[in-house]
Amino acid sequence: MRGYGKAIAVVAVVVWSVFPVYWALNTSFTTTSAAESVPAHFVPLPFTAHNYSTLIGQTGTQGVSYQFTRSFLNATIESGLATILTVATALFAAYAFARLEFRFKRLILFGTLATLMLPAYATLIPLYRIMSSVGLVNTYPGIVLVYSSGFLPLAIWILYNYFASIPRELEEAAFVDGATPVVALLRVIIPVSTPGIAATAIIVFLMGWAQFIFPLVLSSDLSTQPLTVVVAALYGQRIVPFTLLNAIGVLAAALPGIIALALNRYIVQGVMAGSIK
Amino acid sequence: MAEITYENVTKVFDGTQAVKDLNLEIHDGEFMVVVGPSGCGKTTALRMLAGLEEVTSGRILIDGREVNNVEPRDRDIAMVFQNYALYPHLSVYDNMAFGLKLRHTPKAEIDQRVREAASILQLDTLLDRKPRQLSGGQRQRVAMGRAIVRHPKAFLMDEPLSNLDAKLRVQMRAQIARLQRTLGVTTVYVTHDQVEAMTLGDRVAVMRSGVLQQVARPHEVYARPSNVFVAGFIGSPAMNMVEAELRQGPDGLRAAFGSQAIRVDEGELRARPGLRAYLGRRLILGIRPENMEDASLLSNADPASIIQAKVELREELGAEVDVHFAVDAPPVGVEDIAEAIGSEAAEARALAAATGKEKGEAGASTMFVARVAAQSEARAGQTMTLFVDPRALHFFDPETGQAIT
Repeated sequence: MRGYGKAIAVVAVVVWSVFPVYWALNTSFTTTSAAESVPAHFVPLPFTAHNYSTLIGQTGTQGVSYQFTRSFLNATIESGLATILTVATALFAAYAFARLEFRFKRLILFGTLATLMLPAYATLIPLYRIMSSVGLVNTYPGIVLVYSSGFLPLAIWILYNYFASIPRELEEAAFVDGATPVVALLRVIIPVSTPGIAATAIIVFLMGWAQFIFPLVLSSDLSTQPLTVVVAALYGQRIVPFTLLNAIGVLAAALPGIIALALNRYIVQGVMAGSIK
Repeated sequence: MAEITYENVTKVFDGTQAVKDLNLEIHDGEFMVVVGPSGCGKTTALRMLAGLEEVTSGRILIDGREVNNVEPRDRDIAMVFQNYALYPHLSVYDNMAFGLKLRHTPKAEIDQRVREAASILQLDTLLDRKPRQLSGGQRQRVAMGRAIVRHPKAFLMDEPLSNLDAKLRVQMRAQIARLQRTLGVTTVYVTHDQVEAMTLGDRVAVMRSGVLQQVARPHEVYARPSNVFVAGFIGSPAMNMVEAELRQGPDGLRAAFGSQAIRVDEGELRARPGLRAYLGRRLILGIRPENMEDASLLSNADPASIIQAKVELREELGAEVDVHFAVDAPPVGVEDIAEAIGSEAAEARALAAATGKEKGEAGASTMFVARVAAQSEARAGQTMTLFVDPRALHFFDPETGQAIT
């Protein structure tokens, strides 16, 4: 009995989480009338790639296609730059927390972490005022800076734990071999930390890709608005068919998926194998 | 090559003294082994020399230069870690070349030195491998190679063989000894293994609880231990120690313990003038297992050097036999011995002594081990006679535990 109960629970969870994705895929490859028919079609018939060709391969700076491609590009640039800035900064901060001794270290580390408990909207208005006063509203640098400030605590925490798991002897060997702490970080610690760094990069990129509230406030037009903001606007206008919106959703999910797959090969166990004992 | 000096070096960790007032001079080209039980401060002493641990007080000098505030990278020393600490992302070649690259050694010279070290350590065919593709012994050799290529002033080795299996350890021990003789580089080698200490060291420094106990050539540490701790730590099986009394016999002094008494050699007495003062007083008598022999195998054993022993256990070692027996004299209750022979061994001895008592033997008893020739017929339950070499007795003050000289 226990076995059956478990199987049913597993199936229920899988259906619960996978079905919306399947449904988005299904309807994105069919016509509006078929998608709205009752009873529902569980396979995309009649099949059409029209929704995708509407989004991709159109020229001009008007219409849904331009809104999609431009906001897709914005989201990629903003998330990508925020990922690079966040990970690069977090590497040094996490290394310092993991290895150096300085006053109030734990206080600063846990203080940084504590900011994760603040709801995002608590900082939204102050951040807007700050960005506005330095003229960074509706610019890539402004959005990237705000993203990084939000993502850094988590990135530092993940990398801090990763660094803390690396045996100290590895750096000590490097020190005796002639390395300064920075050289040891760049030539020993970072290379052996690729799994942790790749995982952090994926998480940070996904967090950036999913941002909505901050760009909604900080981006005023299509020059910086990411996909999330634009899709919400399109949905609100009720003039774009939802099969097309689903196609946008599928494409929006594709890029992080590809990045995760590409970085996945670094997230393999055993990078440390052979170092110790 | 270099001389290394510890001058009144103390290290305090969170209020506890890991190393106390260490004074030690290591000569140019010398192989110095620092040995002691875990937690005795030997590794801390080594790490201070490497610059990986700050010195709380005192001075460490390399070639006359105080290095207390010199970074590890500027001390020109190489270290072999207990767990090897190879760079897992680099090939064997690059692991060895790493330090030279950081020092901007010309490429051709790096290549020459790495290949030279690889050939000495028989790593030629493994240069392209990653550490994870190597066996434990190979990794250990890469760690050695990484030290050799640097041509440093000194090698520091922190229990480099403790992760190898017993057979490989013996092989590598011989290789390290050969290597050090060939290269002539000053070496400080830390181990808890007294066999490694005896076989490798030009001199051996014995430490306990952060305090240096004795520094001497291996044979001297063995033959003339400075206190009960060193006496119990060096040698295996550990030295037998028992409370005894020095008495005047018909033809010279006797060391009496329980119902037994053995002759004290005149020559030994001359070598230890302090011993006369203990006449009629308690002291600690030490007898190494290998300094006893089955008297029935000897043709003319001096009766004054013979003790009776009721065998409790016979352990066959092939070339020799270890015979365990109880002696009806109180054991030495000094904690120094427990630490030296390991608390488990001490407990086992105490337990054996206690079971001896239960069997109805009167008074306190101490377990002894004698290592006798394989021809010995002694069996458990039998009583045998043992000859004790009168020139190989050890005497310690019962209050201080120091050797009587």
